[in-house]
Amino acid sequence: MFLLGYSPLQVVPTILISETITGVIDTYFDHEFKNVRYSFRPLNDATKIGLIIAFVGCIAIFASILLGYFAIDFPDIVIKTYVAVLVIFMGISGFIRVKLRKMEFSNANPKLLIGFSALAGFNKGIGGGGYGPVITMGQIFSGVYEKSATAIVSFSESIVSFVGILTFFLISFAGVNVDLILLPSLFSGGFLAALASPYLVRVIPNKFWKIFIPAYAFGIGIFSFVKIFTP
Amino acid sequence: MSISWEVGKEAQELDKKPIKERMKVEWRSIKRVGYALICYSITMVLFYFFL
Repeated sequence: MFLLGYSPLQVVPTILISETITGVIDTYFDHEFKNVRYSFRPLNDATKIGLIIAFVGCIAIFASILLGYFAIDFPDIVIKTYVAVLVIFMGISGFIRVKLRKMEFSNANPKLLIGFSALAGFNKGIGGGGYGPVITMGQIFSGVYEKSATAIVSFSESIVSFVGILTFFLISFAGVNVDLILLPSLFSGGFLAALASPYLVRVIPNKFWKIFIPAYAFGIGIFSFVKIFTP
Repeated sequence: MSISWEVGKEAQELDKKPIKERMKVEWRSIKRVGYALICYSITMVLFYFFL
């Protein structure tokens, strides 16, 4: 959207608002279609994982604002190359994991999950992107079922986006005007996708997602890599 | 000690069923999708008038 000529004040709050609402819809229907089950009383594993990821994501948002505030600027090409290589590596590792481990149930590894959340949060904090693929692959490496991993990402991203909106509007009190002209179009696509994707995740077998998720991460990494080095 | 996540057990159970079973959804879920689409339409009308 930046390439299309929209300003950050048009793009950032609009994406955050749209992601919060569509994330809530996606989370609700993932629960409804039994891709994952959330419970706050008592707090179940899926909710705990989502909250841990969201917490680290929120810290990342504050860190990125602090970095911006103190004008600590990392070279753009270094960050983007690092994230692209990381996502490609995670995609390849995902393929290797599918080849090596044929078993359906994996042992849980909460420490690994926190590590990947921190890694994805760090990437987001330094403005490198790749949050979704790293978090999804991180959950799968930590023993979360593939279908549930995709659902939990939506849950945590909706919380992170909501905190992002609050932060953005706090900054906006300093007299910055927010332009929501893009909201209807972004919201339309996001909303309909948030209704369709939980149903597709339910219907399509998990063996497809086992291949598709690493392939998607690998593809995103390659695409980012090509974009960096093509003028 | 090895532990296992209590995540996605229902999805795993559902995955063992044939695709026709997975495509079937409860009437309650269809109604909720309908309500969501009504909310979506109302929101789009509000966007038209207020944005």
